[in-house]
Amino acid sequence: MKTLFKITAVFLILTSCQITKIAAYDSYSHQKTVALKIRTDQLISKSQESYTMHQNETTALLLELQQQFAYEKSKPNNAVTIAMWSRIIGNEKTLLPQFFGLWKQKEKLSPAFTEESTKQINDAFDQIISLETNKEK
Amino acid sequence: MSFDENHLTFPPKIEEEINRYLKQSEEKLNKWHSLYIEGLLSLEEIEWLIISQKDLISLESLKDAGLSQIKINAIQNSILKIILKSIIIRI
Repeated sequence: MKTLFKITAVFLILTSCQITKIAAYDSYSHQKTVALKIRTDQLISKSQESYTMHQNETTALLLELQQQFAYEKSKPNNAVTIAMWSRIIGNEKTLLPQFFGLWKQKEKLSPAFTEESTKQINDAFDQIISLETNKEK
Repeated sequence: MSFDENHLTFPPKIEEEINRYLKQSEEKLNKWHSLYIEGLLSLEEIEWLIISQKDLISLESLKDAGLSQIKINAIQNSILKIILKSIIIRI
């Protein structure tokens, strides 16, 4: 019995290491990320039109993406998801701010670019969604 | 990183990352190159796509790391359940 308690104690110490911990599934995160993916996709599909026409929509979407990033940062043991969001919206040099910056700069983007960038951005969101879906429920 | 007149050499880890990027991105890079040559993509647009591909590979690596953590957590929980069960049986 003593040996069993010793094994249990060692195991509990080992499992308390932060390195192996990851946040549990969060249905709000999941649903919100899916919704943001759809909204981003819809806005990007309009990037062949004038940026000025969609400036307010772009500002509102970027704000909502930032809010979601802040929400993820507030959760404990969420380092991997935070790192993923930071690749998408972390600062002005990351994926989406760069995309909208380019649209603003050029006023209209080419149809070929719209098609290719949509696939890239959808794939990026899918990585986050896939991780969230696989978290322990 | 060292440099001589004829060859640019990278530390093995960086070389491995570059090879991984090129291998995973070959099809896309060829397509984007063709679109650029045809004048359907601008220089800024192809630059954004190339950087986005690097980010995508980084996101895939992070997702894989997260999935591994989830598996480790699941194994830990299973072991903990077995230990607790054994204790309860012995009490």
